[in-house]
Amino acid sequence: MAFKFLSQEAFKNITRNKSSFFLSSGVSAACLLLFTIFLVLTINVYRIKNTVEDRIEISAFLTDNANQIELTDKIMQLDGVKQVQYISKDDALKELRIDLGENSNILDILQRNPLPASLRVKINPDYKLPTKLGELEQKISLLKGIRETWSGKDIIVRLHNIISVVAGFDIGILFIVFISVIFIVSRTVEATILARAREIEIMKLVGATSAMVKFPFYVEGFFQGLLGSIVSFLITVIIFYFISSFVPFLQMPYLLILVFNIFWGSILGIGGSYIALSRILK
Amino acid sequence: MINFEHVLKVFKNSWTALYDINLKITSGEFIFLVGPTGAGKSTILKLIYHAEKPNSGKLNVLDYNLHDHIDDNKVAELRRKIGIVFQDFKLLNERTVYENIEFVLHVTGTRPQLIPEIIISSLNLVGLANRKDFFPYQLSGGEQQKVAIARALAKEPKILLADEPTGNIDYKGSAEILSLLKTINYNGTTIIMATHDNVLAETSKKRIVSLENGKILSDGV
Repeated sequence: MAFKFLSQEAFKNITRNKSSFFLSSGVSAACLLLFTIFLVLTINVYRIKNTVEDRIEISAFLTDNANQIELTDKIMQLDGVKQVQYISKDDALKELRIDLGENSNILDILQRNPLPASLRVKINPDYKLPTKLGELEQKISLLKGIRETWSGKDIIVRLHNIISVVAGFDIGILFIVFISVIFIVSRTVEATILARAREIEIMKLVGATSAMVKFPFYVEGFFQGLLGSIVSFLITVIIFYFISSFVPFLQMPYLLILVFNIFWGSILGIGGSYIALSRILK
Repeated sequence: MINFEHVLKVFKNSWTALYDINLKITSGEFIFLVGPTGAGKSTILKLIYHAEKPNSGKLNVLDYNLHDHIDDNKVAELRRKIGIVFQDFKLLNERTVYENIEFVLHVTGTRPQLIPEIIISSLNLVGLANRKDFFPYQLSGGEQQKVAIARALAKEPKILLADEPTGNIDYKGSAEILSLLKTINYNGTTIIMATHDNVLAETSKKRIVSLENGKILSDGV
């Protein structure tokens, strides 16, 4: 029951020191917002990477006299190959017509079909990494009857590089956010502790346990972090609303972002209180 | 109830506050600690409520061995059995008289439904029930000290420590506080009062422990 009273005390204190509470929550919100934006960006980069990886295949273009049945058998025996599909010269032309759409009549001026027949090689998921894909492509290209291969490996390499950079930023920003929020909340709680020095002194003198003395400050830190996280989430939603009208393929997992913000906001708020209490209430 | 055996207390700056203190206080006693500033009166009180630890010797208070290591929860448990009154009252100015006592009862885990009755009964004892909605700054020094005593009594302590309780109060107020402490003692609470006012102690016809430079000079009625 004492904790109910102490929670009420914490709320009274928040009401008494509104400006420092809101300032601290605001700065926490700004830090969390920065990280949330990068998190949304990262999620979208990963989504694009997965979409691109789903479409990864190797196109092996055949020489005019190649035996496609024999080549199909040989390729199917290679590790990492899921399926091989033969695309004849006519099929290739049909696909090109579909791809060109309105401009397909440009093909009518051609005297003969210039497109080679090809084998479209579907890959197992664990072979979609740039190195493994490159090795498989090379093996196929060395087969007799293969004129040329194309896999889009360069695109995968570029995507992996982008993801490494973004993930690096995420970790860096998480670190900055972590330090900033803890520092800000701990400073606010420290100021509160000093302002309530007499109250704490009395609590200790009359025999309040350490947990009872500290509890209101943890409540305060928790609510500072919580308010910061909710504000951060709402601003993210507003920013996303505007950006998605320009970049429609962007996605935001609302629930994940909300849970993420609340979790980290609360943890960092309580962590800030813990540091302040450890420093002052020895 | 309280037993000091060869207690030595040296502060970090190498200042020795108490030398070889031997003092036994039994349940229900009223004892004055007298002496000039720096004699060691407040240090004895601080050792009793474990705000300080002895450097050597044995100290036993209400069956707690305070010369050994004692964890924070045990210290809190000990302090819930001891009431403390200070010269500067240590009241919360933004709270009423009622709320000052209510605060202490809540943080020491008193059942909420019992709190109003305990507060009124404590205020009746010190004669300030009619001032329960006043803020401390609206009261005289003597009245503020009575509120501090009521707050200490609300926990029904076995021991009441009073550190210069009349230091900030006029003569009439001091006499009232002393009379109140005697009544509390009459009801069974052990009282240890530190004061530099020898006259006040001597006229009370109670046990007086006289201290100077950290040593007991005399002990008797």
